[in-house]
Amino acid sequence: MHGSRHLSEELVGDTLPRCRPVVSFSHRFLVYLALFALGLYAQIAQALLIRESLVVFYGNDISLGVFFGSWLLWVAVGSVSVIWLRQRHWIEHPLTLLRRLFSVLPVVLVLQVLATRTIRLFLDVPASELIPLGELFASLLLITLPTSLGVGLAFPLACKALVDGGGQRSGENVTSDARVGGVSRLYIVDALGALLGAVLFTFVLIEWAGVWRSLGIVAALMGTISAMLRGGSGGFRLSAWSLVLAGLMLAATPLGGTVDRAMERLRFSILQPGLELLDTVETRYGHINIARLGSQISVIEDGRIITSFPDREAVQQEAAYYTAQAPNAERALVFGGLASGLVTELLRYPLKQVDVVVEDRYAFERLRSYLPADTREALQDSRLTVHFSDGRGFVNQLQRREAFDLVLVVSADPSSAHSNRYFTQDFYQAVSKRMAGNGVLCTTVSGAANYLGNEVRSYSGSVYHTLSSVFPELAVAPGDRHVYCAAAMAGRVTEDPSILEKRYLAIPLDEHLFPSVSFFTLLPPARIDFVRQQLAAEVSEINTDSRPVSYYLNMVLWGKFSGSLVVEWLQTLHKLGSLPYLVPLAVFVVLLLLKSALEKTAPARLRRQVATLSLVVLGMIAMAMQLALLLSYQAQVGFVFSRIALLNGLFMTGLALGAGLLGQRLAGSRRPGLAPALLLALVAVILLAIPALLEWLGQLQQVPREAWYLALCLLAGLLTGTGFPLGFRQAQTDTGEVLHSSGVIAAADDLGGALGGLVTGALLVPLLGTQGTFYLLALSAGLVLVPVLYAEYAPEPIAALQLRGHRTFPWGGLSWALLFVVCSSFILLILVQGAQPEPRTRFSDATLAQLSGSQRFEPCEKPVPCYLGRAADSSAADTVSLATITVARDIRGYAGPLNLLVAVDSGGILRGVRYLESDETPSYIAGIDTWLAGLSGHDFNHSPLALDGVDALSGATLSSRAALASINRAAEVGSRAAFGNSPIGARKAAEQRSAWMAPQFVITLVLLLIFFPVYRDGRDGPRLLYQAAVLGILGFGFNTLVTEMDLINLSLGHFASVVDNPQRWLLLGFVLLTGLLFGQAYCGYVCPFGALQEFISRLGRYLYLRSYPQHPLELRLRYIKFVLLALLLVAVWISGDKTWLAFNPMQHLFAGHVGGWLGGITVVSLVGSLFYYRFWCRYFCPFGAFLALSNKLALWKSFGPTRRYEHCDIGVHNDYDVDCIHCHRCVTAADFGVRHRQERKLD
Amino acid sequence: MEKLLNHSRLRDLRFVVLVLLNLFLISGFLVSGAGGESGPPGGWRRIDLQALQTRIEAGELVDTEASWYHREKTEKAGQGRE
Repeated sequence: MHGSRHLSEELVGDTLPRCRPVVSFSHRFLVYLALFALGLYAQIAQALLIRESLVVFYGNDISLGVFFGSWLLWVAVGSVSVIWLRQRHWIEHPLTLLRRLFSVLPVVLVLQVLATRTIRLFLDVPASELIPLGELFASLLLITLPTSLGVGLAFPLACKALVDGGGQRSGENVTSDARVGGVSRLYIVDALGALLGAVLFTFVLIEWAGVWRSLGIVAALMGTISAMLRGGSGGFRLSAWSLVLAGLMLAATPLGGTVDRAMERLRFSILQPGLELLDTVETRYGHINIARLGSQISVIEDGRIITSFPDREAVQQEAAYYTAQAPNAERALVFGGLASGLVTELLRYPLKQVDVVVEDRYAFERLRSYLPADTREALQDSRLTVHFSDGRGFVNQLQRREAFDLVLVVSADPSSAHSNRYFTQDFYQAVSKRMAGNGVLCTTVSGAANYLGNEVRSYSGSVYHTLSSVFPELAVAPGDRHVYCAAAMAGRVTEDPSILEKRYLAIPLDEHLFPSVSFFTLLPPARIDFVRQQLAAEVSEINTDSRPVSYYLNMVLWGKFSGSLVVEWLQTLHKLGSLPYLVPLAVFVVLLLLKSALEKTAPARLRRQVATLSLVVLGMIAMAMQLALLLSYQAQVGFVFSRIALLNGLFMTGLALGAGLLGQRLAGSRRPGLAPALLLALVAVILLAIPALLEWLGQLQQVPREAWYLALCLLAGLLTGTGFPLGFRQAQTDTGEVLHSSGVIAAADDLGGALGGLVTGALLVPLLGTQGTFYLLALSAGLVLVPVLYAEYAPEPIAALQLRGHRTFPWGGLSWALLFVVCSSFILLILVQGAQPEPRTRFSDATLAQLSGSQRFEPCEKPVPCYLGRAADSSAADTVSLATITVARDIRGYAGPLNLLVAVDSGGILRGVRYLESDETPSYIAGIDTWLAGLSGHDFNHSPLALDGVDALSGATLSSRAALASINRAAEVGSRAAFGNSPIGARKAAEQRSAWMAPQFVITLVLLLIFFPVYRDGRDGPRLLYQAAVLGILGFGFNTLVTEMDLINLSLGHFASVVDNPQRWLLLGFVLLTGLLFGQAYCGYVCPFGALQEFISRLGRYLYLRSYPQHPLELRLRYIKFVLLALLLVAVWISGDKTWLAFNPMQHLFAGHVGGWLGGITVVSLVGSLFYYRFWCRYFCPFGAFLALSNKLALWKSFGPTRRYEHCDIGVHNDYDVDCIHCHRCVTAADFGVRHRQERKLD
Repeated sequence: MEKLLNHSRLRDLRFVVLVLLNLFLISGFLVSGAGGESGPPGGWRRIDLQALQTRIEAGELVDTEASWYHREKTEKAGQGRE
C-alpha cells in the first residue's frame, strides 16, 4: 500500500479553484509514466527489503508483519508531511521535488539494503545469537523509514504536478467529481506499476539478475524518469543521467556480479564469521549459503545453519535408531536428510525403495558438487528416487494406496510458518493415510540435553501432543534434539533399548557400524520417564495449519533466548484470546458516541469523524487480511519468499480497482452515509467465510490453490480500497476543505494499515491462528458499524447530557485521548487479572503429612478449603492445614498476597508453614523457607505472630509482616472451621467489635455527618471552622485521608474487609456518595491537605502575597494534574508498582514522612499556596483530577448553595465545570481576588 | 504558549518557576523512588542466580532429571518437596 495518493485531492482543489488545467499530452504522459515507475520501484524496494530482513532475522516471520506495519506508518507520515510542507510553501514546484526524489530514492535503497545486511553490527548482536524482538521491531522501523517516507511524499507531488500541467490553465472550474476522477486514474496507474514490479521481481529479477543487478535496473529506471521530467538546473539533470549510468553499469556489466559477490561476502561474514563462503543460492524458500569449516560443509538458510556434513557417527546413529523402530521396513519416505548423509546411510539397509523429497531442485543442483563422494554415488542407487517438490504438496498428491513403512521428517524445526507445516496435525494426518498399517513416522524437534525449562517443554510438548493426537503409539528419545517415533500399531515403536538393540542386530547388514550397546546410553529409562512425564503434563495446544501454535511457542523461545522483555506480554496475551484486541476499539466507539452526545457534534462533523474511524479500521483489516493470507499461503503452499511481490502487487491492484471503480460510484450515490455501513457489513460477512474457504483450499492441488490465494489477495484489496472514496466524500462534505480532510483520511488509512501489519504478524496469527484472526477482524468491522449507523440515524440530543458538555480546557481531543488510554488500560488490567491462574489450594497427603505430622487427611470445602488431619488410629481431627490465599487474599506483601501452606493443631500450636507462591521479588524472599521453618512450634494461645517477637526476612519487612498476618489469619479461621474455636479468635472478635466502636470511627462518622449542613449553608465561616476540624482530626490526629492510593488499591482489587477497617470504608463511601451527588465536594471541604493549603492561601492573601497568573497560561497549566493522573495510573497498572503515584505529599505529610524529594514537593506546594490559591490542589493533585470528573455527574447539585461564578477567581464559569473544587468562596465573594493595601479594586 | 510567555510579568514568571520546580521534584521522586524493592536487575543476558537457587530448592524448577543417576536421593528429596 502506498497510501498517500489521495492527497492529490487537496492539491488539485487548492491550486486551481477556478481554473481548468489545460495540460499537454506529453506532460500528462510523463507524469503518468513517473507514477507508473514509482509504483514499480516501491514494489521492488519493498520485496528486496523484506527478503533482506528475513535473512538477517533468521527467517523470523514476525519480521514480515513488522515490516509492513512500519512501511505503512512512514507512508502515512509522508502523506501528512505534504500538508505541512504545503503550509510552508515548500512545494510550489512539485515537479522539481519529484525529480529530486526520483534521483534520491534509488541511492537511499542501496543504503537501506546495506544497513539491513550489517544491522547486527549496529545492534551489537553477535553471530548465531537471536536478535531480541524489541530490537527487531526498532530496526525494521528505522530500516523502512527512508524509502517509504519518500514514497508517501512522491504520490501527492505527482498529482499536483499533473494538475499544474506546466502552468497552462484555462478559466473553467474543476468539479469535485473531476478531481476524484483524475486522482483515481493516477491511483490505478500507480497500482499497475506495482503489479508489473511484482511480476518482474518474482519471475525475472530475483531469478536472473540477483539483488544488486536489480538495484541497478531500478536506479537506471528512476534516473531516466528523473531526467525526462522537465525543468530544473543543468547540474541536476547531470546527476540524474549519472544515476542512469551507474545503474546500467551495475545491471549490465560484470560490475554488478562483482558487487553482488562482495556484498554477499560482507553479509555472510557478519552472520557466520569464521566460515568460508563457497556458494550462494536464492531459492523460492529462502536465501541459501554453502560454506566450509575445515573438512565440514554447512548449509545455511536465512542466516542459520540447517545441516552440516559429513557427520558419519551422527547419521549412523540416526539410521540405526530409525530402522530399529521400524524393523523389516521396505519403503521409506524422507523429507530432507539427503545432504546430511542420512539417506546414504539408509541405503546400506535392506530397504527396497527410498523416496526423498527435496524442496528446491536448483538449490540441490548447486549443492551437489559439494556433497561427499559416497552421497553423490548414492544418488545413482536405483532404489533412490529424489522428488523435487514442496513436501506438503508431494504428500497430498500421493495416492492413498501408497504404503510407506518408514517416514522421516528431519528437515527442520517448527520455527517458522514455512517449516511449521511439517509439524501440524493436518500434515500428520495426511502422512498417516499414506503409511502401511505398521508404518512408523519419526521426527525431531529442538530439546535440551540437561534442562527442560517451561519454554522448551512447551515447544517440544506441542509437537508431542500433536503427534499423539494422530498416532496412538509414541516413543520418545530425549537429547539435544528430541526424537519422536510414532505408529498406529501397538508395540511397533519402543523405548526399550534392549528391544531396539535386538532389532538392530537382526537387520542383515554387511557391517553394523553403529555400536548397538549405545542404545542403552542413548535411552536411559529414568531419563525417558522424566521427559515423557514433563511433556505429557504440559498442557499444549495441538499445532494445526490454521493455528500454528508451535510457531508461537518458538517465538516465546526466541524471546527467552534473546532476553526479550516482550515474552511475558506474549504469554499473557496468549491466555486472553481475542478480547484484548477488541477492547481499544470498543472503548473508542463508546467514547466517540459519548463525546458526540455531550458536545453537540454537528451531523456532518460526526460523519467525518466516523468516516475517519472507518478508514482506520478498514486499513487495519486490509493489512491484517493480507498478512493472514500470506501466512496461510506460507503454511499451505510454502514459498511466500518468492511470491511475496506478486501477492502484494495483486492486493494493491485490488485497492486501486476498489477505490477507482466501486468506491467512486458508491460515493456518488444518494445516501453516501449508508454506503460505508453496507461495505463494513459485507467485509464482516466475507471475513467470517474465509476460514472455511482456506480449509477447503488445503484439499486442492497446488496450482488451483495458488490461483485462489491470488484471487483472495485481489479481493482483500478490492473490498478495502472501496472504502477510501466513501470516507473522503464524507470528510469533504463536512470541511469543504480538501487539503486537510484528504490528508487526514489518507493518514488514517495508512495508520490503520500500519497497525494491522504490526499486530497481525507479531500477535494475531501466532496467538489466535488464521481462523481466529479472521473472526476478530469480522468483529472489528461489526463494531465500527455502530457509530456509522449512529452518525446516519443520530437521535435527538439529550439535554441533561449536553448541559454537562461544557468544555473547560482547550484540548478536547487530548482529554478524550487520555480517557481512552486510561479506560482501555483498566479494562485490559481486569482481563489480565482474570486470566491469572488460580493459586494452589490442594496438596498431596505426603506434603500434608510432612508439614502437620498427621497421617490421614480429609479434604473439606466449607467454610474454607482445608484438610483435617488425623493420626492413623484416631477418628478425631487433630490438625488443620490450609493455604493462606483462601482466607488472607487481602493481606498484601510488597507485591501482593503470599500463599503459604499452614498447619495448626487443636492445641493452638503451629505445626509448620511452607512457602507456596507469591509475586514478591525472588531474591528478597530467597530465604523464606528457612525463616518459615523457624516459626514452627509457635503457640497461638500465647499471642499471634508479630514482628516484635520474630526477626523479619532481611530487607523484606513488608513481606515478612504480610506472611505473619496471613499465618495468623489462616490459623484463626482454620482452627475455628476444624475445631469450633480459635486460640486467637476471641481476641480477634474483640478487636473487630472495638473497631466499630473505636473513637476514630465514631469521630470520623460525626465529622462526615456535620459536612452536610455546612455544605448546604455555604458560608465561609462555618466552612473554615469545619476545615480546621478536619485538618486537626482527620489530618494530624488520625492521618486518615482518601488519596489516589485508595483509587489504585480499589482498581487492583487490593482492599481490606469492611470489618477489618470500617473507618477507611466510611471515608471511601463518603467520597463516592458526595461525588455522585454534589461533585468535587471532598476537595472543597473534607480533604485535610486541601484544608492546610486553604489556610496557607488565606494567610498569603492576608500578607498581600496572593496573585493570579494570566488566565490562558494558568488554565493550560491546570491541565497538568489530568495528564499526571492518566499517565501514572497506566504506569501503575502496567508495572504493578504503586510508587508511581506515591508522590502526593498528602499521603505522607500527616505521618511525618516527608524527607528527600517528597519534602521538596511539600515545601514548594505549601509555599506556592501562599502566592496562588491551593497551589497543589489545582495544578498537581492526581486524586483531585479524578474527583474533578465527578463534577460532570453532580446529580443533586441543587442541595448545595447557588454558586456565583462572577465571584470566582479561579476560572470556573459553569455548573458542570470540571475544575470546580466546591470551595464556595464565590457564594459570599469571600477571599476573592488579591488584597491591595488600599483595598481599592480587584485585579 | 510562546505568546503567553512573551508577555509574562513577574507574577507569571514566579508561577511558571514554581510549577516547573514542582514537576522537576515529582520527576526526581519517581525516578529515584518508583520501583522500590526491585531487587537485582533481571532482563537479558543476566541470570538471577539466587532466585534460581531458591526455585530449585522450592521444587519449582525440575532438577530431578539429574537424580535419575541416584535413585535414593530422588526418593529422599521427594519426601521433602511437593
